[in-house]
Amino acid sequence: MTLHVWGSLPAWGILVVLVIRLWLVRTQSASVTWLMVCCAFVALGLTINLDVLVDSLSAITHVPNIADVISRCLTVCGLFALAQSVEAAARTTRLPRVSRFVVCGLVLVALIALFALIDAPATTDRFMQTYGGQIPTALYSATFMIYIASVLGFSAVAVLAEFRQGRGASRMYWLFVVGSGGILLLALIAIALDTAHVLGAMEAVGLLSAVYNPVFLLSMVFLAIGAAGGVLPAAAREFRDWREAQRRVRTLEPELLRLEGAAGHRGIYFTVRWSPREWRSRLHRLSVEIEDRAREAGEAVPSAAGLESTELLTETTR
Amino acid sequence: MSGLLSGSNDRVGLRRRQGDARRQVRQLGLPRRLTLAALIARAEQALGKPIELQTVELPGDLSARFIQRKSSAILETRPGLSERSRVACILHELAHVFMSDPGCDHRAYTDLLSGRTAFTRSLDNPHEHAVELFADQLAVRIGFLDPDQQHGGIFR
Repeated sequence: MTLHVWGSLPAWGILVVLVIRLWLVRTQSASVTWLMVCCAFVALGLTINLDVLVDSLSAITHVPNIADVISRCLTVCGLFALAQSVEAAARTTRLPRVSRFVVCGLVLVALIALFALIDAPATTDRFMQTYGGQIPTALYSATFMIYIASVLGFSAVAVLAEFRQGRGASRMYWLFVVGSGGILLLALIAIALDTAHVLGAMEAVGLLSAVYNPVFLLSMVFLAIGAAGGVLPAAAREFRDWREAQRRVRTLEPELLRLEGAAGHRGIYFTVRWSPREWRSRLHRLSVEIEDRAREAGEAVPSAAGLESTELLTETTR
Repeated sequence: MSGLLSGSNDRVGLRRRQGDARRQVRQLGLPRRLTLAALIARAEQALGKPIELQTVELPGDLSARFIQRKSSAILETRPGLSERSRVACILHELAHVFMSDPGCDHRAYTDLLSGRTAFTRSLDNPHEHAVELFADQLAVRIGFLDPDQQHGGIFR
């Protein structure tokens, strides 16, 4: 397996966890959805460097080394999704931002155009080592690395802002910052490596190559654990809430039916078609209607309705 | 048979109103998350006058009502409501404001309040169902249903 395929494993890991979470709980924020998209693209983009895929894609398309440009384009799309994810989590900003789409599109076009300029007649799984001595290859690699580093730098700054503003971000996000720092360092190493390769300084190329591999792998691991560490505690909490909501709905629905009979008045709970993802809204409506019907029927509100004034509930009121 | 048909019509109508409520709340252009205080400020802006929240005894089973005066509005909720129910009542009355409901709905509070307009939270007509669905969408926006989402982080 190549270095990039090893690097895809942390991305696959977090993707599997997020898919299991979505399958169980059915709800997730736009931010986590974009994070899933990011993981899927990055994992695919890195996995495509598998020897057998590199050869197959070249054979199918008759374009030598096409796997490399596909891999980079998928990774760029993944990083675009990461930027969307960070944006979606921000409270005040709106998601669609034309400039971000334009920049991503320009990077993709530049990668394809520069790839077309590279003279690489034979398919290899060591593309940069074999053809890195050409100026278009160096520009191709630099364009890719600068985009990746910029998005991760932007994400790391967003994390640091969360810490500075004391919003209770998980400490695991520090690993994400470290991973982003690692990718920034990796971009510098890659640009230096490509420059040395173009200039024919092969001793420097050997030295920088030796540093590149561990920095890449460690950065990927830190990024994945940092992102998962931020998302998974919230996912576990949500799963717990979802399970509790299922239990309460089962207990309270017969109670609401009974109260509707006693009050001689129906609400909308049993008429609404609840989708599985609306479990919170469903429980909210059930609780509210139980209280309404109990009042109308002159009965006490069942304690299981969970109408207590909790700190979290009062937080949202003034 | 006619009962079955009527039940089926209710369901179809309510499904349509569910979709309408989602669309209408999206069209308000509210931030994805805002506090109840910020939502009330938006309603005040839409109404063009301040809204005062009051807890007062209300007639019958009424849980909330909204009274408009010339230069202000009063949103009344009955005492003894749970916090969840009180917020649901407030959101219901705010939904009337955002839906630009003209005048009274189904109870003749116009007579009672001599020229002022009042909305009451009750669920005995289809429009009130639509208002309630709209209010549930507002509850999602203020993070009332999933307060845990208010935790920090860049993926949430």
